[in-house]
Amino acid sequence: MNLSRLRVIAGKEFRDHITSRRFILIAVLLLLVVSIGLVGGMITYRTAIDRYAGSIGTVGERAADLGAAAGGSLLDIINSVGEQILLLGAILGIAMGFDLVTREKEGGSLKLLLSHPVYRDEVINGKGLGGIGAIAGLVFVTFAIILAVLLAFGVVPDAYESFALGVLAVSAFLLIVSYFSVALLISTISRTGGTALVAALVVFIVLSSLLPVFVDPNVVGVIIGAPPQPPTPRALSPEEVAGAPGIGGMDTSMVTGAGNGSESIGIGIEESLKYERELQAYEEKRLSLESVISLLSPSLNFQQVMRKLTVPFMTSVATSGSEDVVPGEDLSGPEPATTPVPNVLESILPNLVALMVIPVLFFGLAYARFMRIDIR
Amino acid sequence: MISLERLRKEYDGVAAVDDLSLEIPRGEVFGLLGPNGAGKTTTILMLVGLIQPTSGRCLVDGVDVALEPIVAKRRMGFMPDDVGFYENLTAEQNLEYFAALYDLPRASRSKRIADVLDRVDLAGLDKKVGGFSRGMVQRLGIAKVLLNDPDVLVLDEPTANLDPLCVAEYRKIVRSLRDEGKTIVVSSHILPEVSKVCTSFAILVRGRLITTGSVSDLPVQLAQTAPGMAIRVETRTPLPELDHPAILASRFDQDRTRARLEVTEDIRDWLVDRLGDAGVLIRELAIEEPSLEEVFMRYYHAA
Repeated sequence: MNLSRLRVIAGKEFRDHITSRRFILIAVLLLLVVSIGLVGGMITYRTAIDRYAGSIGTVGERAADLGAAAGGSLLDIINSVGEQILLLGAILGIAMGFDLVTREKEGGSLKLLLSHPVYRDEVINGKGLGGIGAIAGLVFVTFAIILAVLLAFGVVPDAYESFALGVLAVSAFLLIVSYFSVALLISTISRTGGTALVAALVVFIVLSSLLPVFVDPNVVGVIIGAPPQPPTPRALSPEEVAGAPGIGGMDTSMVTGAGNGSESIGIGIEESLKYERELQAYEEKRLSLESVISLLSPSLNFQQVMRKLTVPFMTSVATSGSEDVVPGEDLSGPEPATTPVPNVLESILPNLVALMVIPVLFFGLAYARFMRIDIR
Repeated sequence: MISLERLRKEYDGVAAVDDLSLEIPRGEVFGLLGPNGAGKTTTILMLVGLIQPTSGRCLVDGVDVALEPIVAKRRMGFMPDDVGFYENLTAEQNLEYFAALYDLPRASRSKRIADVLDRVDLAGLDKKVGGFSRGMVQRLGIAKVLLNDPDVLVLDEPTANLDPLCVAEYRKIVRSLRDEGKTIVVSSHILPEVSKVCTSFAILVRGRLITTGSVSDLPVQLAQTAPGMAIRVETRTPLPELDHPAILASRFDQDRTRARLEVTEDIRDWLVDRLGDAGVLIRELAIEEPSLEEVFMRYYHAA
C-alpha cells in the first residue's frame, strides 16, 4: 500500500463528505439539537443554582458544586447530550457509508478509479479513512461547542466531569464510526444504492432498536426461561427448627410463622440455599446473554457507557445485575465526584472495547468484500 | 506492444473468454469486435488489470498486467464503456484527482491537465461534471486517458450513445493519436465505427476468437474465398450470354448493358476474356465486397 496514494484518496473522500449536502444537513441538525439541548439544560441548571444560592445566601462557591447541591448535575446534561448524539450519530454514520461504493459503481467512476495505478486496498482504506476523518472533525466541533457553551455559562467541569465529557466524545466518535463501518460493508455487498439504503435501514433498526429489546429482562426471560421460583413455605420439623440459627434455631427470614407449641411454617435451609444457587446461576446466565447482545449493538454500548459515566455509582449496581437505573435517580452509594475514575473506566472498558471492535470487524469485512468485488 | 496469451476467464464455470491469444503491434489501432456478451469488455478489463484472468496472461510492453498491475497501469490509459466521473467536481478537479494518483509532480500536473482539456475542447469550463452532456463526459474520458501520456490507450465502446457530431470529434482525436504512434485498442459492436478508425481487428463470439486481420484486407480475402459474392458488370454494348460453372445466378437490366452475377469465386479475369472475345466494351467490372458488417454476421452465424 502506497501512503501517498492513500492520502490522495482519503483526502478526496474527506472533502466529499464535508461538502456533501447529506453530511452538512445531518451535521448541522446534530449541532443544533445538541446546542439547543445544552443551552436549555444550562439555563435550567443556572436557575437551580441561583435559586439554591439565593435561599442559602452562599456566594463564591463553584457553580458545579452549587449545582450538585441544588439537585442538578452537569452529568445529567452530559447524559442528555449523549442521548441526542445517539440517534443522529447513528443516522449520520449510516448516511455517510451506505452508498459509498454503490454510488461509484453505478456512476462508473469506480472502474475508472481502479484503472489508475492504485491497489484496491488503497481505495477502500482511503474511503474508510476519509469518512473517519470527517466524523472526527464533526465530533471535535460538537464537543468544542459543548465546552464553549459550558464555559459561556460559567461552568467549569471538574476532573470527573471533564473525564466524562472526554469519554463521551470518544464514545460518540466510535458510535458514528461503528455505524459508518456497517454501512460501508453494506455498500460493498449491495448491487445498487437503493438496495443498500434498504439494507442499511434494516440493519440500523436491528442494531439500534431490535437488539436493545433483547436486553429487556422480560425478553431475556423468554429466551433463557423463567427465573427459579422461591421455595414455598411449609411446615418445618422440630429438628429443622432446632438446627437452624436465629430464633429458636431458625433464620427469621425463613420462618413465616413460628408458633409456640404449634407447628412452624417456613423454608428449610437446604431449600433456601438451593434457591439461592439457582437464582445466582440464572442471573449469571441472564447477564452473560445481555452482555453478548449488548456488545453487538453500537447503540447499546454507547448507552451503557453514558449510564455508567453519568451515574457512576451504577458500577456496583450493574455488576449485581440491575441496570434499571436512570440518570439523576436518587441511589445510595458513593457520590459521583468521589467515584474514582479508574473504577468507572474499568466498568465502561468492555463497552469501549466493543465500540472499537465493531468498526474494526465491519471495516475488515468491507475490506475483504471490496477486494473481491466484481466491477464489470 | 500488447500480447494476450491463452487468456481465459470463467464465471461460475462458464467461460466468458476462452483461450484468447492476440498480438497487437505498436502503433496499431486495433478493433475488438463482437456482439453483446462476446467477451469484449471482459477481455479489456483483464487487459487493464481490473479483473484477474482464470488462466493465461496479458502483457503490455513486456509487463505482465496481473503480476505488476501498477507498472502496467502507468503505461496505459483506459476509458470504460460507462465512463463516469465525480459529478460534484469540475472537469479540472476530476483530472486533478486522477493525476495525483499518477504521482505527477504538482507543477507539471496543472499544465498537463490544461493541455488535455484543451485537446478535447473542455478547457475553461467551470461547471461541475454533473451538468455535462454525454458527449462532454466522453470527451473528458478521452482527456483522462491522455493524462499520463500513455503508450497504450484502451477504449471500451467509446462511441456508444454519442451523437454524430461527437462521434466525428472522437474519430478526429483517435486519428491524431494514431499519428502520434500510440497503440489503441477499441472495443465496439458498432462495425462502421471500427472500420473508420481501426487498422486491424479481431472478432470475438461467445468468448472465442473467430478471426483477426487487417481492416482493409479482410473483406477482400473473404470475398475471394467465401461463397455468395457478387460481380457487377457494366458495358457500352449489350452483354452476351455468360456461362461459367461459378455463376450461381445472373440478373440483367432491360438493355443488357448492366448485370449482377452471383458467383462462387472471383471470375473477373474470365469475364474480361469472354467479353473481349465477344467485342463487348467494358465500362465497369467490380466485385461487390461484403461490408464489414456482412463479414461480421457471417462469422457470427458460422460460430
